[in-house]
Amino acid sequence: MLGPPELGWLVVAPVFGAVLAFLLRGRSWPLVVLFGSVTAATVGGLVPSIADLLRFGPLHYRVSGWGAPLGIELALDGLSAAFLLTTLVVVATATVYALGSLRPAANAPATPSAPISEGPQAGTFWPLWLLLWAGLNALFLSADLFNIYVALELVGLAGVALVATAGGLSALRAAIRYFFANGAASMVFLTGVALVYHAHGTLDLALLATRVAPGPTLSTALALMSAGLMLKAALFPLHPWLPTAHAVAPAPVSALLSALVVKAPVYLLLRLWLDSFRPLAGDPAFTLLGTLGALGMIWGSSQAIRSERLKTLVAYSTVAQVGLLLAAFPIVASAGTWIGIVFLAVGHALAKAAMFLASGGIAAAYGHDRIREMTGFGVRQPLCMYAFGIAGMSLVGIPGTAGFVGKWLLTTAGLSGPAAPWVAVVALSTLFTAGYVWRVLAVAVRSAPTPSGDLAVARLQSWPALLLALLTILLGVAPNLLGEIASVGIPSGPGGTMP
Amino acid sequence: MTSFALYPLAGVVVLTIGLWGLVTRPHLLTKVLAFNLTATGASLVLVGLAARPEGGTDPVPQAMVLTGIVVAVSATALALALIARLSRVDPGAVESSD
Amino acid sequence: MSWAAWWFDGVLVGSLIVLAWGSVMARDPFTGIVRYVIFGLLAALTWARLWAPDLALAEAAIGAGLTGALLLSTLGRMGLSRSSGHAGEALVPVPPRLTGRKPLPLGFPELVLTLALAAGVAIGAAVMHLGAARSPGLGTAVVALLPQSGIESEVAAVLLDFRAYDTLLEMAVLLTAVLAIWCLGVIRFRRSPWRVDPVLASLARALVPFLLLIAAWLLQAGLHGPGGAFQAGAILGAAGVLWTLADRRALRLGERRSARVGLVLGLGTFAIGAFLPTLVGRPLLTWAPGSAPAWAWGIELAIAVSVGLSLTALFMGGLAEVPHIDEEEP
Repeated sequence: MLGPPELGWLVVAPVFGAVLAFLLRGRSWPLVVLFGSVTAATVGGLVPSIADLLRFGPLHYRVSGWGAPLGIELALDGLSAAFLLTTLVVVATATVYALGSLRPAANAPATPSAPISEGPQAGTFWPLWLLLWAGLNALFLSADLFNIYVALELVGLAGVALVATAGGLSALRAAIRYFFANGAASMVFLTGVALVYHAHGTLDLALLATRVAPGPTLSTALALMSAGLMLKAALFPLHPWLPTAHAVAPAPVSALLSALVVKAPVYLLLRLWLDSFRPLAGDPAFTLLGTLGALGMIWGSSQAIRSERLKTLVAYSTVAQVGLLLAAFPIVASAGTWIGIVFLAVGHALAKAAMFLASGGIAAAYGHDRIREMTGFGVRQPLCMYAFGIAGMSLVGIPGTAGFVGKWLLTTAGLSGPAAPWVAVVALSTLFTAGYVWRVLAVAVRSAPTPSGDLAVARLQSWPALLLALLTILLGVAPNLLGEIASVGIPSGPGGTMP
Repeated sequence: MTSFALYPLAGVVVLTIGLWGLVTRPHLLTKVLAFNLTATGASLVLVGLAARPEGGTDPVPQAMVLTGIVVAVSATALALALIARLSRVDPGAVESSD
Repeated sequence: MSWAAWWFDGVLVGSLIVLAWGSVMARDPFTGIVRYVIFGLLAALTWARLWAPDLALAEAAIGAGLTGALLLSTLGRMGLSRSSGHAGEALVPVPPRLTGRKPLPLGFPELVLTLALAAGVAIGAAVMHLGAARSPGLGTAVVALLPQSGIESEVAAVLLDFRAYDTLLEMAVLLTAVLAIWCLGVIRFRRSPWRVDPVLASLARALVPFLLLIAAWLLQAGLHGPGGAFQAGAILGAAGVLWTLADRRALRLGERRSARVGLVLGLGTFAIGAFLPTLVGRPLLTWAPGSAPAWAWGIELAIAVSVGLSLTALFMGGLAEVPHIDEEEP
């Protein structure tokens, strides 16, 4: 079924917004442009497309009207719709937070040691922000491998730039490391794409699904693309670039990076392994992915528990959670449904964005984010603590949260099949996650020695975090809100049972 | 087999050299060079396999590599701007660990 | 004939590999950059050999030329350059050795080398295996649909019609890079970062109109054969780089409204062109039958302007002149 023409607005509206935000540098223009882009993409693009998706099933879309194999096609199914919706929610809330936190500083990175000042850079933050969003939407919609490469580059470069906006030495170094990891990953991915093109004469994922046959060339191609994506997803042991970059970036940027930018390669891995290249992906390959994921989960969690800074803790938690997602791949492969991992990924995106926004608010109030020295922040910043706590519970998988739904679906799907050992990893992650979440909450509720100074958090910095955290509860209580959309177009058979 | 088969293979070698340099060479400018080598290597695989000795090359990979060249120079310029600022902010700190 | 081809291709491929290795392993970055520029020129020759003149042009101008110039100017600004005379040096403390991070753990290079070799052999084997069995690609599809598109040049038709969406995102990447550099904050200079050599300045002034002419010719040629928006943009970028070297006023590029409009002209036109068809119920970037060449012409012009300005901005890397000369740092 062909999608509505407005589907493309999801990409064009933010691009156009970026152009306008670049040209109109007045004080209130960014607000107008941001609001306009979000509205156009949502009301114009996403809502009618999802309505069509629910009515007709998976949609495809011929950009330029040519169609595959020569033209580029977009595709919308339950999987991409779930990620697009999550992207919208996280971007919108993080935008509100960023409006609150970045406005006074006029988003000019002030590095005291460097003679950097205003100039043409004033007003570059919002265009970059919108371009990052455009790139994410393009990624989740694209059904063409080379187009995915270009979108990955867009997301990667915008991400590097936004990390650097934190200013200062550590931000520059983190951005440079991020840049090289991201660049190498892109080129390895591109080489895989080149092999696919010359093996089958098309880059369209739907066409490839019908043409792919096991063989050394395609296995190499899949290995290359996966290696690139794993580096971009910071899967253990390719993760060392992530904790510095995500910890040092401004809070709303970290939220986008951890919730969405790292999720995009995971989404693509899911697409390639479970959909287009399914005939190539054998059990040993899934075992390898799952093992790396499990190791990443353990390593990331143990580093998070030992972190001295709140944002570093949250960043290492991303390494752990990406590992958990990958460890769930064997379950998804044997059960044949992606619904469980979608809940896990969406739950993590919402929770992680909430955690970064909450830690940003706390850090803004304290002027630092050393965990030891923020004893009793729960009393002073109750909203931030609730946000962090609820998000943490979702990550742990307490019943009534999105994380629980994800883990429940994976467990019920995995226990009956050959992937049962991987269910143990999912269960184990609950303990590990509880460890580092508890560490922060214990500090939060401990009574502070001397309450000093005014430590209020701006409203625009605490409510978005809480809103995101509450959404994880909403999804936990009413999983059908997402489940109904996300289960459209599952390749083999219906979704698992809802709890 | 014709002599054109050498080009994609050379692309693989250049890509490998680039990746090796990217990981092991300490100097940041050398890393940028190595990144560019990986880009050229990937392009050589893409176009090298598309060229026919009798003449004519599939235009689709050509267009892709043209896109790739512009993307690579954009990325390179960003990396160099970051490195230039790093060397300005604190030239000595680049030697210490994180 | 065949042995001559083997010799030529063998020597070219061999030089590419030797130069690639040499540029990465060079003892000092300056030597590495010089070798890389030669590598880039040979890569351009390679594209010409592989029947891809469009790529040869772009690689020579952007891959070798602009990238080399960028690397050298960064090296110069870091004070590591062998050549002296950069006024920028006065402001930049000389870094001892710009190394990455902590020293690599023992055995790490060997491990990476083994992995890289294994990966290289695997990919090489896949390429060899593909050799005879590879798909004919989409060349015939392009030729078959070219009349429907109306654009005469195959590569231009792919870039501006069949896969125009890639090009739209590519323009977004280019703008992202410029914004990314600007958002790092501007490096301001008390004096101009480089001395304006009067001879160079007059040479540049003489060259710029000439380059503009070449760009215009490439632009109109692009719809029929080799050449096109990106090649024209690359030449415009070269003109822009010369201009920045010759004229300090170039340092105010980011402040000029006209320049800012020019920077987003390509992406903006593209976005409007993408958006309009959706209003009449067609997908993004669907040109009305017969209108593709007209759209292509307009978008090529806009892209060339934007690419030229963007490359100039990328080359300047966020340099700007100090508006208030006296209140600056040491």
